[in-house]
Amino acid sequence: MLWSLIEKELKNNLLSMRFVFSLAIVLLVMLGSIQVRMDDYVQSTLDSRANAAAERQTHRDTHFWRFQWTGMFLERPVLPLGILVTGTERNPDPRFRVFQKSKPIIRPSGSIDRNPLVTLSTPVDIMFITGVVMSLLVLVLSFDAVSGEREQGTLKLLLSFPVPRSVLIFAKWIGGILTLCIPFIIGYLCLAIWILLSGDVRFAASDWLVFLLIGLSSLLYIAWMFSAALLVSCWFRHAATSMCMLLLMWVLLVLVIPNISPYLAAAFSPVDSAQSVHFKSMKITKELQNEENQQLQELQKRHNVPRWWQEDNAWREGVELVARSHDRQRQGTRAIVDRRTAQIIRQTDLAHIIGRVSPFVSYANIVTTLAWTGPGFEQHLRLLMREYEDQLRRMTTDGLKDQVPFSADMLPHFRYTPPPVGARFAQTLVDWAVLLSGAVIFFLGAYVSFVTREII
Amino acid sequence: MFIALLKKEILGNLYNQRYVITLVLLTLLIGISAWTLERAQETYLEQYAEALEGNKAEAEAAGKVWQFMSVGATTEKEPGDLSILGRGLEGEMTRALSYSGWNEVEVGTVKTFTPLFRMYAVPDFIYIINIIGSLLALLFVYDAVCGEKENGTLRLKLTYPLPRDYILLAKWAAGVLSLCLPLGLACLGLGVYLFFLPGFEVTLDHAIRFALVFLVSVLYLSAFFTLGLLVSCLTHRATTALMICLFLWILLVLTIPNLMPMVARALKPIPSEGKIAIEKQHKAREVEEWAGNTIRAEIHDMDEYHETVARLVAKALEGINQFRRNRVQEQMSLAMNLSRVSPAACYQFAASDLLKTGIGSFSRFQRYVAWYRQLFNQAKDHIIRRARDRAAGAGWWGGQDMASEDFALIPAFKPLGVSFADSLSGALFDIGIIITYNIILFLAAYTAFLRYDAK
Amino acid sequence: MTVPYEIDHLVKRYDNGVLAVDDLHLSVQKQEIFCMLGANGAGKTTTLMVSLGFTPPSGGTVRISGYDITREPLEAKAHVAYVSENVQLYGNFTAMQNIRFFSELSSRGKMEDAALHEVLARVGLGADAHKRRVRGFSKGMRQRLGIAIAIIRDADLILLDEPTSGLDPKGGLDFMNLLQELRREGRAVFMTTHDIFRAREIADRIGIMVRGKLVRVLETDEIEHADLAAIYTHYIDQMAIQEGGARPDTTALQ
Repeated sequence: MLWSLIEKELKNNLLSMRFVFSLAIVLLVMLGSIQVRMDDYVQSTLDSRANAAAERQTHRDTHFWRFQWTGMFLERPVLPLGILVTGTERNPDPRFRVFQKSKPIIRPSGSIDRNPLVTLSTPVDIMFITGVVMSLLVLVLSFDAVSGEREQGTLKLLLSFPVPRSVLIFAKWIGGILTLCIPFIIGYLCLAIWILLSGDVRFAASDWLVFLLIGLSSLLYIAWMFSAALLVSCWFRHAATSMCMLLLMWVLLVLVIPNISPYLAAAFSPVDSAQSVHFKSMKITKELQNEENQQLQELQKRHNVPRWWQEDNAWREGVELVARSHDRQRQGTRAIVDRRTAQIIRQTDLAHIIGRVSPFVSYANIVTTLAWTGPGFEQHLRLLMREYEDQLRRMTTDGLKDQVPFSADMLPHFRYTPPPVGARFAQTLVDWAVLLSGAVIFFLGAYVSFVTREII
Repeated sequence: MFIALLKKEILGNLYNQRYVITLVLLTLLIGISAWTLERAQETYLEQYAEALEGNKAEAEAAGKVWQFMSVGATTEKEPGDLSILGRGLEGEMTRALSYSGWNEVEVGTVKTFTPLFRMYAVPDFIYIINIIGSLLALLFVYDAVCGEKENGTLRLKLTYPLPRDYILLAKWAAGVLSLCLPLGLACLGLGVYLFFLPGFEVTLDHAIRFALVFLVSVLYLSAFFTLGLLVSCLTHRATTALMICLFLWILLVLTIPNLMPMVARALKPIPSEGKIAIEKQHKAREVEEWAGNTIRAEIHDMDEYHETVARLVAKALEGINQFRRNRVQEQMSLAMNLSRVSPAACYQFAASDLLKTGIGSFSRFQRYVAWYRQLFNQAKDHIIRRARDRAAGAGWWGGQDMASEDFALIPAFKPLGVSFADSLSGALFDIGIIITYNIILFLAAYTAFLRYDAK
Repeated sequence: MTVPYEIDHLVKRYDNGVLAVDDLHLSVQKQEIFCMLGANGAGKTTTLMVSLGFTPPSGGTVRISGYDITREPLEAKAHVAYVSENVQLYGNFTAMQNIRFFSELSSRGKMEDAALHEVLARVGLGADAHKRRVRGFSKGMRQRLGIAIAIIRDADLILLDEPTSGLDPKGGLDFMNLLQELRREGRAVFMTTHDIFRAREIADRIGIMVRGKLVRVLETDEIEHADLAAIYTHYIDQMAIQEGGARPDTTALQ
């Protein structure tokens, strides 16, 4: 009997115009955007490679002493999973200057000459297509799941049969979710095939795992939306009223709360400006620089030379001293940056906690963390860049001590690898739980409302 | 007779539950957004003040001329006062800009509090009207004709000796009027809020801009309202009409304006910064070699020679910068023209231009940044010349101390205010498109309704 | 032997205080057609809603083939079929798909397609209509399909809510014949209606309900002689006088 009911729900939905519409929209938007995004990815990787090569070339004529003042540019890595989820990587500055004396890695560097329209628009990716477009379609497909049958009168006929109401609502839930998942799964499979066939983007095995997980989380999000729609549909007598209520809810949950939550978090948990970090670190640098100059003078006196770089022993000692001083500077400035990073993490977490009222925030957090284009990415990147800086520090100190000429070939290659999928997944567990419990609670609400209320 | 129809339509709207929801929602959202963005603006202003002081202190801390050359000047634009209503490209314009003697202009990070701000759109007034307002306008009207047909009132109406165009005109006028009401109330509230906000000085310019933004918003909403009316005239069942309206909304508001910039990026790529850097390096070397071969022999003073070469190099490099800037401009106009298919994009362009955070203001700002670089370089040359005079052959000019007059030479970074006429001329084209959409859609709805089968 | 339909001192008072059914007491035997007459808002439909368990009674019980609808709703529903006033079915489905779906839900279990076609033919739906979507059906066709769905349930009791309103004369006549057949098969039929003349033609017993009260039951021998219209209007007038000329408030009951 349960199966007959589910089958009826499925057939009834699949035969309706709305279903065809939704399928068309989802396919159109998904495939239309993925091609553009893949082209964009190819372009970005080419640019990034060209930039990296150019950067090495600019250091052809430099020497170690100068290098430790200027530092070098590191390219912001372009991750293949970014074609699925843009996250915070919307029109980012393409590179970071690292190992610049006295300056912490705080600000990425870009040109003012760029197309600002990309900043102005919202990227059309899986997060957007599922989170905004699909969720709206879910409401359109299910707003009258119960209230429509009630209005039509078929609900009375159905309930005059010896069918427990609980079975009926359960069948509606299962049938509805299955129907809604079909357009998404079809679109998502087409996406996978498209990515495989085009060959522009190569996903590693772990990337495909993430692809799968993102698909699953999207289905869970769809289930959340559908359960909420079912509850509203059970609650209100008229289909038109439930549609209005659902759209109201949708506007708040998908369009308003996620966008307001960072601002609310910023009001309660402030973060120092990037400029202030810069000023503070400059202050530290200045003090340490003076100290360094003094020590070098003492060194000259001790070795009894007019200039410390003119004598071999004094040189070695001087290089050690300068290296130590640079390290201290770096530690000092890094502590300031860390303080700000901690503030950022606190604010981001707060924004997430506030935003979790909306399933969209949970969903966005899951997909951006899995695709590793979320708020965690840049912090992780900075940590790796610090390690790289330390590498450069060692290389430069040794180079200076041994007085070898600088060569761009000596620069180690910077490779960015995101944290393993397991670790990323673990970060999203809370959001999975929030989505799942939301879906279950709404279903139970719909269940209770449907089973206990009078049908007239 | 027309008045009777109009009155019935307006009353019908006022009693409509959907209408009340629209009213409450719009007012609520505009209020929340104004409050949050105002809080954010306070922080931005604080940060701006902090940056001004810090930048000044940093520049003045440079004791020697060479130190000043390497530190240069860091500047930034004051946060725009109207950006509370539409943030637009304000974030791109308020980044710190570092000018130094030797390097390119270095652009600081976009001023957001956390990376999360880059993930979601800014919930400002423009966003609310653009996304939520258009959705509400469609919801409000989708069953205006086909719904009346479904419940039979349309047939009853048509049995009266009424011209059909009266019926449609009454519906349209009443709908637009009823849309204006909640929007007008919300805007009025917003205006009052801003007026009584401490630290926000309302000038005539603000008032005119705000009034014009309100007008453009009404035009924009009426375009979507008319679109919904057209759909309603073309369909016979309310659910079908709702489906089609939502489909069009997804396409026009969510997809086209967001996808087109990426399409433009793929069609007209901008050379990457690395490529440009390499090209500049080549160019600089080329110019230096050329100079070594030609003018080296003519100029005997080494300083003068280096200065001349530097000037020549700078000129050549500026050409490359200009080339990139032109490519950016081309890509931008392509993206804009492609997105203008959707009134949502037109609205965004027009309204943000009027609030001084639009594309027009941004281009102007970009030009100012380039212009300031020239000013700064002139000042730099001046300072070096003075230092050289002071040194008068005794050692390197860079070792000279900075004089207070030297600091006075550095020009103030004051991007020109965008006049109302400039904003208007920038927005006029998009306003024109929105009006055209209104007219075309209305004519289409009119024709469709005259032929509507009321059976 | 169990009685197919037994209403025992049924009271239904809505949450807003309106007394819709006031101490209703009646039973319908096998092979009997009971017609319930009453104005709009007299409580006829409410009686049906309570009988089907859509809303709980405030007092008294309803038994279907001996099963109390509030205590054993599923067992009770296994013995009842219901045809609503304006039969609405799944518009996207064909007539066959609709009836097949409902046959799967009924206590008899799944039926062969041939048997379903037969039932559809019996209620007068031509073979061409079986494959058509129900969305395009006229009211008469939908009503026929509704009764077909009731027939396949093979229930002891058939509840009909104003089944003939809005049907054309031919349709109404066919419908009546069908009910007669069902009675001959041994089923009990309970039907609410405003239609005095049809009730008189077909009913074994007629009840008159006014403001929730069953004010009169006419037995078989009475029906032929009595002037039904006069009796009916008499009760309604009397009620109006008792209420001090006020019109009965019917809105809350609909």
